[in-house]
Amino acid sequence: MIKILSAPLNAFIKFGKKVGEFNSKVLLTAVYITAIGITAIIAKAARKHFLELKIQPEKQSYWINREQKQTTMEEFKRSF
Amino acid sequence: MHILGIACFYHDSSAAILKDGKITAAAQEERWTRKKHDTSFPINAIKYCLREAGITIKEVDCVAFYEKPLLKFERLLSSHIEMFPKSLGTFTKALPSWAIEKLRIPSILSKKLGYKGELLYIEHHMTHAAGSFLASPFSEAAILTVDGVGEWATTTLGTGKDNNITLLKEIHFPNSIGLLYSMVTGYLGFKVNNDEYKVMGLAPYGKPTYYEQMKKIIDIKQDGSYRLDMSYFAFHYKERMHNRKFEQLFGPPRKKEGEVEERHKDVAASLQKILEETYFKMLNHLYELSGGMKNLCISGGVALNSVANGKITKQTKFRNVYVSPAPSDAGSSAGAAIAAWNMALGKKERSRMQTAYLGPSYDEAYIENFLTEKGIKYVKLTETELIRKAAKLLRENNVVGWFSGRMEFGERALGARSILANPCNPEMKDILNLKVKHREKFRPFAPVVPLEDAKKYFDCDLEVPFMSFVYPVKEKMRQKLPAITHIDGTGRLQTITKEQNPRYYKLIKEFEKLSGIPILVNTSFNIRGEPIVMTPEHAYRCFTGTEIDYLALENFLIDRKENTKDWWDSEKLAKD
Repeated sequence: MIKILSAPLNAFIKFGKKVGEFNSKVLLTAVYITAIGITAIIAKAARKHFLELKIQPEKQSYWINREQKQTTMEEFKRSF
Repeated sequence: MHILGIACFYHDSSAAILKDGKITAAAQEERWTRKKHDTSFPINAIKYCLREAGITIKEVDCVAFYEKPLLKFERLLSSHIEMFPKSLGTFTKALPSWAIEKLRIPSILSKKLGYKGELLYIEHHMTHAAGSFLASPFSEAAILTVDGVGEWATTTLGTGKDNNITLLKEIHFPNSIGLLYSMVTGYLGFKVNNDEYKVMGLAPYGKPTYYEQMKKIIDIKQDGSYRLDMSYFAFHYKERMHNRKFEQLFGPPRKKEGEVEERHKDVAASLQKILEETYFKMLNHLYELSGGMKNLCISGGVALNSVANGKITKQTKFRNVYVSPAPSDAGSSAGAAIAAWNMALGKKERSRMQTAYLGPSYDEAYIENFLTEKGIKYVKLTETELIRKAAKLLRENNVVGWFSGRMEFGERALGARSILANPCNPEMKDILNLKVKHREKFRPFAPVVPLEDAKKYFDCDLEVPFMSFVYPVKEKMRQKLPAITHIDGTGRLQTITKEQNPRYYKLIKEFEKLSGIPILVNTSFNIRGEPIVMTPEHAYRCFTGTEIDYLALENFLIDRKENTKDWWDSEKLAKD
């Protein structure tokens, strides 16, 4: 009996996973277009860049100086 | 006091435990799951660390995680905003894992371990710096960390003194020399985040004729800082590393398992040249920045570039260099735990990592039980008998699987889970590559040599216990050592002392008595695509599926001829 039922059960689980994947893709695409898209449009209008994508031959150095301060215990406890 | 360090969810998951500031156990999860570079939560490695420390999770005082997940997530979102709408595919693919696990570390610790105590997040490059400097023998040193990417940083410069580290400068994603190396690795038909060492091994076969093209995609300043021209790259918005513009400049990519052409060798050589140029400029700048410190600690995935490491003392003013046994992300669990101990808790005592033998071991009773249960024919010897016999077998050109003591932590096999062979046999490289490891012909094999003999055979200037440096084989010795001499006359060296691994040391010395050469070929005990073996079962499985002639499981010697039944076909399973 269990053997007979296991095949359709597995197929049903597989189908459920596919539906889940599809749903999450649709949802995330909506999030991408609304949240990421709108922010990207605003950032582009404001000429704000989040990544350095181009080389700048005129620059002497690309090093970024780190802020020098003692890390506190509270900062170690933070995930950011 | 116990601190558990954890690294996971990117590549090379691992765990490490510190007992009163001393590292007592560390291992990668891949050794249990048998998935190379496994990314999953290192539940097996954690359980092992707790067992080795003789405690339960309730006795862990603090867990240190190897990055700050929210900062990394910020970088991810920033990339998507910058690259909108090109990054849709990676957004929908990557985001679920962030929601399910990467941003939920406390609940994962609670669910999988029942741990609800103190949790510290250590910045990723700080874990590299701590795993390097604070584990080194130096009281002060300059520090360079270079990898693919952490949260934002891809490269940092800093200094360390006593129990403290100061990171001074950094370069941010997407500008990453590590990702450039990985990108070309993928372009050359090898696996990204896995096969970078193959590109390094391929480079000496070529000429750097693509150097000028390389200079178009990376701008390197005199102080070693650099920036990539991202119009040639795709990794910041796609799963693919390079794009069409890159192919227009360098030609079509090599197909996986395709023929390695001269052009591919030249691209590898050009890449290695660019990497070294950047590396040494950075190091020379770091030397000035540190106020002339003579000691250097390097860490991060790029620190596995042993060819570049071997040239540091010639190309820079640094005189002593430390690379830990696990400089890549695998070592970040130990780095996180050490940073928590010294920097977060402010403890003065340092945890010097003088050994890589931090993994599990198996006693004689366990092995004998396994052999008997499986009906495997073996001979039980004393240690002295085994060493004599193994040296004789090696002298007679047999390939010996060497399983001894605690497993190594990190990427290298250093005589605990190694395949050993005769370095004087001109055929040995082919035998090992084709019959045992099932890997590409161009890849070299590493030598192990007692520290006191190293200078007689190699142009080396440092003790290299963790196989992190490539040095030239002395010209007059090259003919005597064909199996370990690479095409450019070099070898990736491991030096060994009696204190570090007495049994291994004695074996090499015994081999010297028979051959006149105190060197053995040492390669990791696995086949291509498989993690290094951990248990006697793994070792025996690998042994029967390959053409390893003898297997030494501690003092038990197993002859292949007497155990012909294969457990698996390793050739079919060999993959990247």
